[in-house]
Amino acid sequence: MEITKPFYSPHEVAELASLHPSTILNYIASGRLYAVKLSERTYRIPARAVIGLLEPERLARSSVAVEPDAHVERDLADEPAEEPVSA
Amino acid sequence: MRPLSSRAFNQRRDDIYSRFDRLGRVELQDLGGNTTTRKLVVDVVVPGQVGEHRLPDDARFRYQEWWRLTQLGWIRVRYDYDYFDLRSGGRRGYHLHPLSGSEPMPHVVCVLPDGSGAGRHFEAVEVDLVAAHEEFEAQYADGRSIDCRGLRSID
Repeated sequence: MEITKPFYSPHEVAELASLHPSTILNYIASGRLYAVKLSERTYRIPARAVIGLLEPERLARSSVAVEPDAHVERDLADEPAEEPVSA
Repeated sequence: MRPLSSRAFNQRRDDIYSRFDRLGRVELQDLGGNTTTRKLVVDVVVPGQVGEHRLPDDARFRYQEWWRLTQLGWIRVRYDYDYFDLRSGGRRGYHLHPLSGSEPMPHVVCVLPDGSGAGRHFEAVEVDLVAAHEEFEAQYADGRSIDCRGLRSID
């Protein structure tokens, strides 16, 4: 399976998954499949959510760092960052 | 935004992580939870292509919040919510921090794909991280370029 674009329609995901489109819409409604709602009847499913549905082992891992003893007070007093940020 | 207990703060943090992890690769940092100032940083990067021939990243959502611990709980005192269109260029953000004075002022930053608008500030009301993200995410998913129309300058 080749995922080549950032978003897919429910119909496209149904084809990729060999499922009926209504099944995909049910997945969206139940929260099993994440989708961005563009209008009342229009959804776009991120590539990552498609991979998570079809081949979850392929997903690049996200990360969480919890540092409860970190001191960020000085950071709050700093001037706000307005610089452009690149990836 | 109402004050949050530590438990509610953690629940919100975890909900944000779970949601954004389905859009892109997330790096979340929760700093200072044992102190009186806490910072939440959420960086979401969406790759341009997930197949074998990977393209440059497509979009980046960078959200930072600073919270203070009060008798009411954790109160958000500053934020920078930014969306970077890495494909077409441009940036859109909701910020809360002092501008010319000492009081935090909610405002929009908006930089068009050609770079115009950098350093300018526009009127806004306070927004929640998830509300800001839903706006950015819909703009991204719909393939719309960064657009600054309708904004009122406050500079």
